[in-house]
Amino acid sequence: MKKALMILMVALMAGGMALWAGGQQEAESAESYPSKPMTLVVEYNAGGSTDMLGRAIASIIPKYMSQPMVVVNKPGGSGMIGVDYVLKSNPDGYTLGTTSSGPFTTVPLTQQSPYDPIEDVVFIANFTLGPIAICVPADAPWNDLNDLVKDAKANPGKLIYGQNAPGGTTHMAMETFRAAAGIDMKMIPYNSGSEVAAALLGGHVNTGTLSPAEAAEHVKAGTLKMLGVFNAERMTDYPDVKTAVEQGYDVQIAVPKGVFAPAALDPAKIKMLEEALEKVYNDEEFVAIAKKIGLGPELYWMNMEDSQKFMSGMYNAMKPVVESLGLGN
Amino acid sequence: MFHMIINGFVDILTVVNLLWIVFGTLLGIIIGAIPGLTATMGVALLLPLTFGMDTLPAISMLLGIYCGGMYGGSITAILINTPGTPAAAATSLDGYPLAKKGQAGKALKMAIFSSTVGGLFSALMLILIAPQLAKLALKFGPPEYFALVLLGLTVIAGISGKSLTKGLIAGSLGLLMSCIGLDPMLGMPRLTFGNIYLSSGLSTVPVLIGLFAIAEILENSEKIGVQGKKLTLHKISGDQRVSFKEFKSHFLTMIKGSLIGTYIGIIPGIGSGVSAFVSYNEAKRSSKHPENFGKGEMAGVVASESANNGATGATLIPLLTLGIPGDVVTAVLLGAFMIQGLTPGPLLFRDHGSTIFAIFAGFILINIVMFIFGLTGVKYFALVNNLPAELLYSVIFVMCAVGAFAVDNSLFNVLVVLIFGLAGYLFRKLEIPGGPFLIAFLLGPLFESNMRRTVILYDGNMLQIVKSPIAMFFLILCAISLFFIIRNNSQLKKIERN
Repeated sequence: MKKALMILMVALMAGGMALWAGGQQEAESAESYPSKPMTLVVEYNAGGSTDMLGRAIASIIPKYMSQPMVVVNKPGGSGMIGVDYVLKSNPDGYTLGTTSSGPFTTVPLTQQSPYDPIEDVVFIANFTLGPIAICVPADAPWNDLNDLVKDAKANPGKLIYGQNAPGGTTHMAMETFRAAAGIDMKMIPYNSGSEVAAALLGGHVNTGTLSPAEAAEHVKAGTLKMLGVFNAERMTDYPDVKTAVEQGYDVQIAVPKGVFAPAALDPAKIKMLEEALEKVYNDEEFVAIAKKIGLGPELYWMNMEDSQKFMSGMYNAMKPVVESLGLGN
Repeated sequence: MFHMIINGFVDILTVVNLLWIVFGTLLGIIIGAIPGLTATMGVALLLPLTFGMDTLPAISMLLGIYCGGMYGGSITAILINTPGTPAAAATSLDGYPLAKKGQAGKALKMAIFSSTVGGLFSALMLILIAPQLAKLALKFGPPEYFALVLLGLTVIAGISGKSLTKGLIAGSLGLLMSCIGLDPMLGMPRLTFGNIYLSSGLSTVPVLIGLFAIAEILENSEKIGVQGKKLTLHKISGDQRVSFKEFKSHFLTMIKGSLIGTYIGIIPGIGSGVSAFVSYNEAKRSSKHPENFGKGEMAGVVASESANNGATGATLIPLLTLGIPGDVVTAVLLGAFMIQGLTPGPLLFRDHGSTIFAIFAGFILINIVMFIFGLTGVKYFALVNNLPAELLYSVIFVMCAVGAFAVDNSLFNVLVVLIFGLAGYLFRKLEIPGGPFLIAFLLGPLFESNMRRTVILYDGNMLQIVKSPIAMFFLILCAISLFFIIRNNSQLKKIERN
C-alpha cells in the first residue's frame, strides 16, 4: 500500500514537472514580452567590473521593460561557461548575457570553444568601451611611447612588461604594439590588473597595460604615469595622454562591454531590448551608478548594428595576432 | 592619530551602525559555520544591499561578515570535523581530536579567544602602521613570493602525521590537481580534456568540502545501521572552563600566530588558509610536545585561529592603501568601498581620513561583537552534539552540495564535491592525510607562476635569487623548518621504539 502510494506520488511529480517544462517551451509573441522576470548572466565573478555594470543595467531596466531582471553569475572557463549557458538556453529573450571582449574574441581563438563567437550571438547593445593604457612608474625615464621604444631598441630583451591575463585582450593589444614598434621585451604574466599595478609600484616590472580605472588612484597620487593609450580617441579624463596612433603606432584596441543574446532570438524582441537598453544608457540614475563604480569615463553607446560590426571586426583583428604568437588552437 | 581613533569611535557608535555590525557579524559566523558557504559568498551576496546604504553601516556590515565568517568556520571544524573554509582546515587538525576527548567546549572557547586576539592585533597594525606595511608588501616580487610559497610548502612535512611518504604523496597529488586549468604563462588550457568547466581549474571550496566534510560523513556513515550501535557524536565531558593560567600559557602562541597571520595577510594573494597552516607548523616546531599535535593539542587550535583572524585586518592593508585586493573576498570589498565613493588607493587616507578611522573603529567593534557571540554561543553550538548523527550528517551533506553549487552557480562543482568526497574517503582508508593535499593545492598556482616568473626575470639562472635579501630570509627559514621537522621525526621514531 505504502509502495503504491509512493509510486503514485512520484508519477504525479514527474507529470507535473513535464507539464511545467512543456509550458516553458511555449512560444510567446513579442507583444506580451516580457511577461516574467528576465535573467542576465554575468560570465565573471560577482564584484568585478562586468558584474557591476550588469547589476547597474539590471537595476534600471524595470523602469523601461515592466519586468525585473535578475543577475546570475556563471564564472569560469575564461568567461566561456556563462556565454555558452546563454547561447544554449531557450532563445526566448528571458536569458541574456553581458558582453565582454575575451569570450568573443581571444578565448575562442586560443581554446576550444563550444560556440561560434560571431555566428551564434547577437550583440544587442554596447555600454562601455574600456581604454587600455601603457603605464610606467612615475620616476621612469620615459615620457611617451617613443622614449620607451628607443630604450627598448637599445636594450633588446632587457625591459620587462607585466601582463594581466596572458592570452587575453590587453595581452593582444600589447603584442600588437610590440609588433608595430618592432621591439623585444620580456613578459612577466600576472593574474589581474591590480597585480600588475603592484608589480609596477614595487619596481618589479618596467611597464604594464592597465585600464584607467586600475591606474587612476596611483596616477592621482603621482606614483604611476601613462605613456599612451590604445584608443581611437584620447581619454576625456586624461586629455594629455596621447593615443598610440598619434605617436606613430597603429594600435587601436579597447575592451567593449554590453548585452548579448542567442542569435536565434526573435528580431522584434531584439528591437524592444535595444530600445529599452538605450533608455537605460541615457538614464540619469544609471549614469550616476556607472560613475560610482568607475565606469563613467568608459561609457560608450553602440546600437545592435554597430555592436555587431565592432565585435566581428575585433574578432577578425585578433586572429592574426593570436596566430603570430603561436597560441591558436 | 589618537584623537582620530576617538573621533572614529564617536562616528561609529550609533544604534543603527551597531545593529548592522551585529547583523553582519552574526550572519558571518553562521555562514562560516556552514560547510560550503564562505565569507566570500556572504560578502558578494549582500553587496547589492549596500548600494542604497550609508557608508559606515554598509562597510561595517560587510566587514562583520568577513571577520565572522573567518571565525565561524572553526565551530564546525572543531565539533564535527567539517571545515567549511580553507582557513578552518588547520583548526580541525587538533580541534576535532579535542572534541573527541570530550573537550569541545574548551576548544571552542580557546578558538574564540585566539580569533579575537588575532583580529584585534591585526586591527591595531591596520590603524598604526598600515602605510609602512603596505610598502613592505610592494617589495614582494616574483623571487620573494617564490621563496615565501616554498616555505609554505615545507608545512606539508610538518602536518604529514605518521608517514612522511604518505604526506608527500598527498602533497604531490595536490600540486598535480592545481595544474588543471589555464597555463599561467600563456593562458593555454592544460589537463582540461577539452572540458570548459575545467579550463579555469578546480575551485578551492568544492575540493575542500569534498576532501574533508564529505569524507568525514562517509567514514562515519559506515557505523550507521550496524546492529546494536547507535551513531553518536562525542559528548562533552569534564570541566570546560578556560583558566587564566591556561590562557596565559597559550598567549605567546596567540601573539606569534597573530604576527604570522598579519605578515602573510599583507602580502596579496597568499591568504588566511596558508597563514593558519604556517602558524600551526611553527607552533608544532617550537612546542615541547610536538608529538601531541594532531592528537588534540590546544596550541594547534590557538595557532591556526589566531593566524587566520590575524590575516583579516592585514588583507585590508594592501587593499586600502594601494587598492590591491589579495583574494576574492577583498576584491568584492574593493567594489563595496568604491560604491560608497571611497576609492581605495594611496589617497584614501588623505581624502577620507575620518571615514576610514570610523571604519577601523568599527573593525575593532566587530571583533568585540564576535567575541561576545562566540563565547556565549559555545553552549548552544555544542548542542549540535545532541542531534541524531544520521540527521546531522544528512543536513551537512545537502548543505555541502548547495554550497558547492553556489560557488559558481554550476552543477559541475557538485560533481567535484562528490568525486573529492570519494577521494577523501579513500585517503582515510589508506591513512593518507588531507592537510598536505590541501596546502599543496592552495599554494600550487602561486608556486608555479612565481617560479616561472623568477626564471624569466633571471634569464633562467635561479641562483641569482641570492641577490634578494627577503627571498634569502625565507629560504633560510625553509632550511630551519626542514631541520626541525627531520629532527622531530627522528625523535618520534626513537620514542616509538622504546
